[in-house]
Amino acid sequence: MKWLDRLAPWLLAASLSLAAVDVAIWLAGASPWHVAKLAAAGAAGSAYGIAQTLAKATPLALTGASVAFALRAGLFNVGAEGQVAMGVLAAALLGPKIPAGFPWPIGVLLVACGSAAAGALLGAFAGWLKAARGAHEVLTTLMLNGLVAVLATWLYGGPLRFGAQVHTAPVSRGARIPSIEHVLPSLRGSALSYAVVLAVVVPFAARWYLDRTRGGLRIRALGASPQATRALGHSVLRTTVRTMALSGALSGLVGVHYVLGFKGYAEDGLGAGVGFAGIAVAMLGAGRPIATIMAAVLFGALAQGGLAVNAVVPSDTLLLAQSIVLVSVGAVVARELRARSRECAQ
Amino acid sequence: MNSVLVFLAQCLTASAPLVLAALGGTLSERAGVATIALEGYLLVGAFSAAWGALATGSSLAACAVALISGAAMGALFALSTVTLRANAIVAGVAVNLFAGASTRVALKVLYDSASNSPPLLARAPRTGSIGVVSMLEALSQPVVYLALVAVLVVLVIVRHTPLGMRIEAAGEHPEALAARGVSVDRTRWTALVLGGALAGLGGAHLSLAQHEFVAYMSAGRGFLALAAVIVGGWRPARVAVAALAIGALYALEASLAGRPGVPTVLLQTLPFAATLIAVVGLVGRVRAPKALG
Repeated sequence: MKWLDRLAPWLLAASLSLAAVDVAIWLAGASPWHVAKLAAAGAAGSAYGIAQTLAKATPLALTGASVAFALRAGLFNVGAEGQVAMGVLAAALLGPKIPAGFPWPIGVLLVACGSAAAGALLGAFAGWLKAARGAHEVLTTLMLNGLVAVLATWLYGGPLRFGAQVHTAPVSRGARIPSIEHVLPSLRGSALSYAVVLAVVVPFAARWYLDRTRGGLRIRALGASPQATRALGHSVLRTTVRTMALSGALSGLVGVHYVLGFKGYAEDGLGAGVGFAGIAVAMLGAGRPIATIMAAVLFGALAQGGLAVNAVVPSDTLLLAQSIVLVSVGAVVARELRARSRECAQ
Repeated sequence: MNSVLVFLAQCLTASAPLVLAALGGTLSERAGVATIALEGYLLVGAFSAAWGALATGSSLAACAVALISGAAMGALFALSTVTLRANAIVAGVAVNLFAGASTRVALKVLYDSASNSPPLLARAPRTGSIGVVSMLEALSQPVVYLALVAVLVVLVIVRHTPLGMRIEAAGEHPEALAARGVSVDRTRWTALVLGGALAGLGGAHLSLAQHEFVAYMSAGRGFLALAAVIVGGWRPARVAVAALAIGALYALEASLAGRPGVPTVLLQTLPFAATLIAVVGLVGRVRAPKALG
């Protein structure tokens, strides 16, 4: 009955959030069935809707993989929000600097490295504060989120503002990811770009790194116990910093999607919320790449479906599901862990 | 003189929600439950106070509504962490997501706006210098006084009541509490609901002082309040002082921003940067409840 155990959190989460959202829709004075049909049509009923769903799922798969990555070392990275902002900022700074004649794959790769490095820097700092100073990563990353958000608002409203626009200078053609609409004209205007490849590759790459490399073994050892890390002859400090840096790098990559793929510039509030939503994705994904991608697509569909029903009920109604999913899956995971520790004790 | 009065008025305005949220966090954390949900409590408190003020026209009634909805959020958090045994950080993130989405939904349904409520409770016309006016405005807010009362109430609960002792036992040594025949779950429920009520009341001040509710107006204050709990070593009086200090940093920003030669961005990052430094500097010197998680 292993498959049933695996399915249980999904079923519980689905039915609980469905019930909660239905109540919310009913309170908002609409028919849940009508809203559900509208949302499904908006998120999956057309090529454009599917493209939008996938575009909204892209950052979530990255932050979901990022949070799950740090969790393997027993570190709770609630700083994905700030790391995403750093990645967006780095892409906005580097993107316009790439010469327009550059072949785009190289330009994008350069900027992606910058975005990942920016996210890694913020993550590594929290990791260092944890391992060298003993400050809990949950609190420090929350403080860093606030710090980066304030900085970004100031930068986008002032020093980085592009003339009279409320956004930064446009990214040069040498670093723009081509939109998919050139291949599929029916997707005109959608936010989907080839950056969606990242959403598929990164969760698998993260899992492969953790399971199949020496560096990954150290991270898992740290998650098992710091003593295990020391027993293997590795430094807890360095492993903690490296784990948080890599986790931050995955979140930083979100900047590639927003700045190089979708908008072509950065603006205040771009990417806000995907860091915390990534925690929900990581909980549903439980470190498994396919489950992570599925969870990201699920939440992407909820966000896109929400926009489709906005005329009937507010778009945030469907996002309520995110929090319910988080609680119910969190509870199921906790129960599984207790059951497992009881087995170990016997 | 004027600028001193403006600064003091801003201190009162900025500190009240932080002090209340931090006191709420103190109760919940002393019971052994990590409470990043403070951010969501503040937001829901701010919205329900706005609703209460618009529906009744009274700021005291608005505070009562915020208190009750804060308690309800505390109950929601207790249901997931205590009864369903979800990880407290995960459940806290869930409560914050829920608060953000549900206040936006209610904003749209009740006031047909994506970003803010209609203006609340018209400002009383006041005459005099800017310092006197802002001081009078700050002192007209009931939450400022309620925050002061809350400090005393939480101090008495923690130090002098059986409930306070049970809460401490639930956070330090839950097995011992259970062995005495007291339900750990029920004790934690009580602490979390009380904590939610206090933080919800703190949230009321955000919208009442600004005379409107704005989506996501808590803007990280709940996380700063949680930091104040840690900087204050989980002891109510010290926690309140830490929250006051963070409030003073906000006040500095509000009263100095826009002046020539003052870098606004430094002032704006000050609350987060200084709190981060304080938390890191105090690690090891404060002792956390043993069962905190």
